[in-house]
Amino acid sequence: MRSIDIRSLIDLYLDDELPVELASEFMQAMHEDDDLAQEVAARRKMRDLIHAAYDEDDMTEEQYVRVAQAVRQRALELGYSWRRWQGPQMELPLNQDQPTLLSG
Amino acid sequence: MLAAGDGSALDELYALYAPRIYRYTYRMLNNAADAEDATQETFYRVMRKSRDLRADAAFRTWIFRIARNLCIDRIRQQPLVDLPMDATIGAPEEQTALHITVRQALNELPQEYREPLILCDIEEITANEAAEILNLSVPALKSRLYRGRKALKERLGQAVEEIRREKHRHPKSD
Repeated sequence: MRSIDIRSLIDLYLDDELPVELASEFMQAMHEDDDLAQEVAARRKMRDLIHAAYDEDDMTEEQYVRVAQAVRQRALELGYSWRRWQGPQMELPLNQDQPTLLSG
Repeated sequence: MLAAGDGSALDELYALYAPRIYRYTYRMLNNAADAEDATQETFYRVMRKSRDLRADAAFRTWIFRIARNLCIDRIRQQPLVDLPMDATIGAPEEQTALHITVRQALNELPQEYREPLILCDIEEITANEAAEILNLSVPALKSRLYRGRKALKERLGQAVEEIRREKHRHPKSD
């Protein structure tokens, strides 16, 4: 741990990619090194800032319905059948709890 | 589950992925109308190319790759424009400036840094999946991601300071 630049591990720590023992050592190092703790806090803050800046990109309900209708229409035109590619091994990541607007 | 009916399977795939694909394409293209078109076209291609999906391939990776290719084509035809001014309507002034600054800083990064940042840090897709979507090895993806973060931090550090200085020069604008 001490033989490498501990700052090179900050991204791995924030990405939750450090092995447990190393993460634990890293946290200990943060307690002992204020500069390191500040650097970690600054990088975490930057990530939060990026998230906040991109928070407002959600599809509106109007867009959702409009695109859904176009997709359904195209599926009808193509005579598209999902069964065509429904091999026995194929598992689509469907979630039955999701609401649908295409139905009906 | 698909045997329950084609329409219902399509509904469910759409419900699960359309909002994510839209957000991703919006972040890539910075334009709501383009993102809507790209989302629609992504689903058209899913229908047309569904035979290409290998049984062992992850659907999410596949659909993001389709969306990504559409975005890249679009960016090649028409480079990114400045952010729309309605991007952050309703936010307090300084926050708005900060958000636009962040997005502009990300837009200005080279594409090789921008894409890993959008996928990993904004879409929160794993490095393995992002590498597959971008057709990179995982180490190459991580290298670009870390360099991108560093470049963004440098750009943002200067920009945030400028906003703060501006605020102090014009405190009444709050």
